[in-house]
Amino acid sequence: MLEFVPQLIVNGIVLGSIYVLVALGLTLIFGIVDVVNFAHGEFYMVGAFLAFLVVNSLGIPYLPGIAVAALGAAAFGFITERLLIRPLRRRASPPINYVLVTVGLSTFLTSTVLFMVGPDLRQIPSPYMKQMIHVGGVYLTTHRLLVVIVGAIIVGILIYFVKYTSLGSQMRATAQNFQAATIVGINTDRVFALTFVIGAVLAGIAGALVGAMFVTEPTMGMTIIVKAFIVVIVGGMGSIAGSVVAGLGLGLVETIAGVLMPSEFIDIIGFSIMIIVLLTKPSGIFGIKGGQGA
Amino acid sequence: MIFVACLLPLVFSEAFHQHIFITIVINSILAVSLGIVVGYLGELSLAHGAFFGIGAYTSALISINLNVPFFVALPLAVLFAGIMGYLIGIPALRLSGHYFAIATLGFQGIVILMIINLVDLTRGPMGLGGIPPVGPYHIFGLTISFLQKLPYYYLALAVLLIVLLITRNLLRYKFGQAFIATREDPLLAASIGIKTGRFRLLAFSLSAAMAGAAGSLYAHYALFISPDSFHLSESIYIATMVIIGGRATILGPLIGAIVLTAVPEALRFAGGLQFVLYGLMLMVVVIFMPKGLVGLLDRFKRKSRSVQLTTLEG
Repeated sequence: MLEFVPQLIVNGIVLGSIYVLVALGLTLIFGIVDVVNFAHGEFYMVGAFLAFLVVNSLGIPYLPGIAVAALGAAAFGFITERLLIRPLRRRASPPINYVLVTVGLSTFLTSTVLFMVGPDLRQIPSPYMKQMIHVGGVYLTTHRLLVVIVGAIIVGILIYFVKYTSLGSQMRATAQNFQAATIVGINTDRVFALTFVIGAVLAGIAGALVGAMFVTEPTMGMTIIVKAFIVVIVGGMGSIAGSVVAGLGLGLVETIAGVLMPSEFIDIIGFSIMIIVLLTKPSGIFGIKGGQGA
Repeated sequence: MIFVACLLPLVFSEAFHQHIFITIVINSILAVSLGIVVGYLGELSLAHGAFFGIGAYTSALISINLNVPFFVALPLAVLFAGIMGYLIGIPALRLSGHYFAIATLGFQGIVILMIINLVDLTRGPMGLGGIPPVGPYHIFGLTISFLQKLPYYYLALAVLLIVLLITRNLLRYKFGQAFIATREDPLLAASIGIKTGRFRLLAFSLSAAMAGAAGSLYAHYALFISPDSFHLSESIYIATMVIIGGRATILGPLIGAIVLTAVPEALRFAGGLQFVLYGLMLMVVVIFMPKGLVGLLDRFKRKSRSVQLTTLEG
């Protein structure tokens, strides 16, 4: 039993890296644009399918394929903000309308992809899935290592961007106080569009990574968004550090729980942790926003 | 309106149409009951599909295992769904806004996972079959079998009417005033002696109990239930009815339920594009009709009224 522990930890970190990538976008969009994006899982799904398309049909190698997925997801994020979110914001719509519009987008994207390609399970061909690495007692494919590396690099870039660039501080200012940010001349429209683009890119890359590791299918977004919600709540809505810690934590907890109990019960743990955090500290472990926020 | 509702299935007597009417009535119960939470507490619950499922499973399991008739199983399902609503409401209602919505999403997930995993009781993902139908009853030499669609429609309609009456009375009298006061300004409401926490909890449990009634009706109509019907997507679907219809009225959820049940059926001609169009419609409605269909109606009314006024002045 004990000799499996390093292997479990590694598996947990791989899974957790995916959760982090998806949850980061969700938490940024919530923290800055103040929108709970129910279509976030679909950015992830679209990323996976774009990568599948270019790798499988056009014969482009896997790594550039991820880049194409990221670019495509960026376009989706941009269009979403322009066509759906901005018109609602202009009218100062109640939060419930944002939920509805993103639910509509989620249904639209899932069923469009389902209509175009059918419900079959696909896998993006990745050459790294066949290479095994063996360190100590731990076995993992190069692909899984790639997931962790890509995740780490992206988190690093994101933190640098948000902390040390002008656009990044504009984002933080907008998150803290939208009106004050507008008054000091920040182009908040641009900040919101940028936030959506960043969020979509992160989700798209995660999708392209998972689509090669597990399966690519039209409803994959629905599974991941629930996990992302758990991570965002536990980490604190709007907190980057919180999402990283909670995402890796959830990956680890789920992997370890998978050994101890039947796999169907694992998801109950995530939900339970989320509810406990909501009740004891709704702002999450790293949260800045209060529990009464609308 | 009740008159029209009673006549409809006689005019459209095809089985398929009658099936849609029954679905509309069940969905109306769900939407009106969620409307209490959305409209009068100002909160979005994403656990309504779970209460619907709790009602359906309770009713089905009681009538299968204890061999009791529908008219005993229905109140028990309502009661149990209400109790579950109460228990979930205690922690969830400490939150509001986004946080409340996501907490209910968590409870929705837990309930559905319980239904799936308590295989010994619920037969898990395989679904639960062999649910006894309602009746047949012999009254005054007449045999009424609720296996037929027409009698079942009237049965469901009767339940809907009760739900509508309760909801209307709830909002019209002291209770309703307290609800609205609580939604508009919880602090002020508390200061004039309204126990806001208790009202929120009461409204939430009541709404869950009504969803339980819908679940019981659904179980004894479909005669087979599986966890698939009570997923998060169902909760979102019910929430959509309420918001599309227009919040804070009873009429809104009712219209939303009718439209959102009929539209996907009407879109069937589009085959695989059915839900593509549906998703598209949702987005268009939110962008162009922010107050829902009822809001559109109001605007139309106001316009015609102002036209009248101008003609009077002229």
